[in-house]
Amino acid sequence: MTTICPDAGRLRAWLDREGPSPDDHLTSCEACQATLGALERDAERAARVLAPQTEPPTAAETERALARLRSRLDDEPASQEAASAGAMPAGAMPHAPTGRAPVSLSPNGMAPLAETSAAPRRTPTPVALVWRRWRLALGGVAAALALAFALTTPEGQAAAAGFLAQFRSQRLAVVTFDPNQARQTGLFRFEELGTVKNNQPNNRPSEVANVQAAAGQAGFPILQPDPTTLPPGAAKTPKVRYAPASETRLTFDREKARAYFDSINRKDLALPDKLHGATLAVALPPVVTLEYPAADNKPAVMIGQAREVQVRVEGSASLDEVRNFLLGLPNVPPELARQLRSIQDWTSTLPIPVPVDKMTWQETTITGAPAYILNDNTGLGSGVIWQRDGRILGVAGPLKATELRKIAESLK
Amino acid sequence: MLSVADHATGAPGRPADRFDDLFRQLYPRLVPLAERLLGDRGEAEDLVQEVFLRLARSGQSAPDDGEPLLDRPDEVVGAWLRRVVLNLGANRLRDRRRADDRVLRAVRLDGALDPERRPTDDDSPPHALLRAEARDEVRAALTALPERQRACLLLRHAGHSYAEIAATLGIALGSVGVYLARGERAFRAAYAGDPSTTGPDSDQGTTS
Repeated sequence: MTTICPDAGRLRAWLDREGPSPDDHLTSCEACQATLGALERDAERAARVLAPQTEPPTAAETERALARLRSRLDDEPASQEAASAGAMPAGAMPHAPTGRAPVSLSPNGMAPLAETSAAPRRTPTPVALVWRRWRLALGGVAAALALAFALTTPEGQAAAAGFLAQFRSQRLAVVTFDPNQARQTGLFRFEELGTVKNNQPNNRPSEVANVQAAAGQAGFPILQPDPTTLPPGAAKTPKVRYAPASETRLTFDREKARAYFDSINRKDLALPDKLHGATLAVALPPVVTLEYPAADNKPAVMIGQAREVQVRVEGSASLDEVRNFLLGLPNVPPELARQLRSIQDWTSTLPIPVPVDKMTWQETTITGAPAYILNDNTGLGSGVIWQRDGRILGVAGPLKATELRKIAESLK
Repeated sequence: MLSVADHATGAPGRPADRFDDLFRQLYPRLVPLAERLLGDRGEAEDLVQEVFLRLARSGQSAPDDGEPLLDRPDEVVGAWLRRVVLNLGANRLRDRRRADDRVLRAVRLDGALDPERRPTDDDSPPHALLRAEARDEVRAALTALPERQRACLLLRHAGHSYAEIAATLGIALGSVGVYLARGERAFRAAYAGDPSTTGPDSDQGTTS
């Protein structure tokens, strides 16, 4: 007979016949009997309240739903084929495996679908996956966010034409997206609409001597965590990396847009006259990252800091007009557009894209500032990102959210 | 060039009825899950359609960390579908709350408007209102739970096994009972209007 009381989780599993039986122990342990009784009552109550409100779909209803789905899919081939022909790497097609690397955002988050060179597929390690995602989030994806912002402003908001810095990030908002869908529809294929230039095309973070050196280059003081909040075994002195500011400019071109719309059989679409020659400029701030390695030299905690992102439109169009045009493009998924439109304070809210099948998120606060905790769905790690005093801050690592929160709240 | 429909209906190299089989097998199980989350059958069916649409589209490209979804085992695809149902459902609830806030603001200006009233042919307005209130109480109690506890409750009480729940949420099989026990206790308290046993810290001690 077991003398150690099983925990409530094991008892709960046993109630569902999903775990080993503690029968022998239960017959002699009054405490466990009481726990089991409480668990049973809670489970019955939840089952009663949460029971399905209606019967599951019948076979006939399922067939009808399948037929509806087919009908929707049949409406898609032309644009999908065209989008694929224009941008999908052949290796990404499921029936022509060539071992290409999967498509991902570039360090600057720009034009992820324009890859053309073959590269061997590498299976990233879990740690590498987490850190790749968080390096993107903290260090480079802001440009993509800002471009996504250009799609965001809700209807009814009019922006004055010809002004500068129409957008300045002061707060954050999560928007979820389906990476497969975004990749397939070519969501970020702005180069099809004009000319994209970046003044720092090889803008990768480089290691600097210390925090003071990074602060000198970035032009802002670098916040550091209380060392006692770092996980055991983590180095107390971080590796410091710095990425300079950069600007990405998309200058709209009527002829290029025409060719693109023709290629996807959308002759009804055209670049508005006011947008021809106008430039959407996204200013990505300098970014400093502090990486605290564990004993095995793998990152235990990563802290990213940047100034705010700014977006402006130069020329005869306004940011609002640019946004309206981009929102109307056929390759913008309605679900994403709907989320972006629902952001109220569009001139100051930076969307944080969260892949719907890989991460979950929840709202919280860090030292009083609204923040988002993001968890990798596979349990590999967490991150928290927030904006305070004109600065975007992020802390990430293979830690529990509560541990990350302590680190985040200790920054000074 | 293969179209999206080709992938959904079976393209070269893939069993012709793979997508259909998955749909027939999983659609009847996903709709109740989405319905419990959203509180509306029609919206649930629409959401699950959207999720399968994404699955069909995913056949054209490999996820960034492996082979195309439709080439993976049923249990992997099932876990992906459940995860997307939960995430998209949560998005819709958030959007709905924002919309409700806007409606409520309008109601303050015009007392004749009733934001909860969604009359059907055979329901009187008072009954519809009562049902909507009960639905909202359940949803509010669920919303008060930490995310994984909420997801465990929804999945379990929509009939999914512990293995399916663990695969969906990316947690250890042994943690499912823990989340369920905590979630059901917190749900009881939240549904009874007692906030003392709920809160974001209730997930502490397991993975988060």
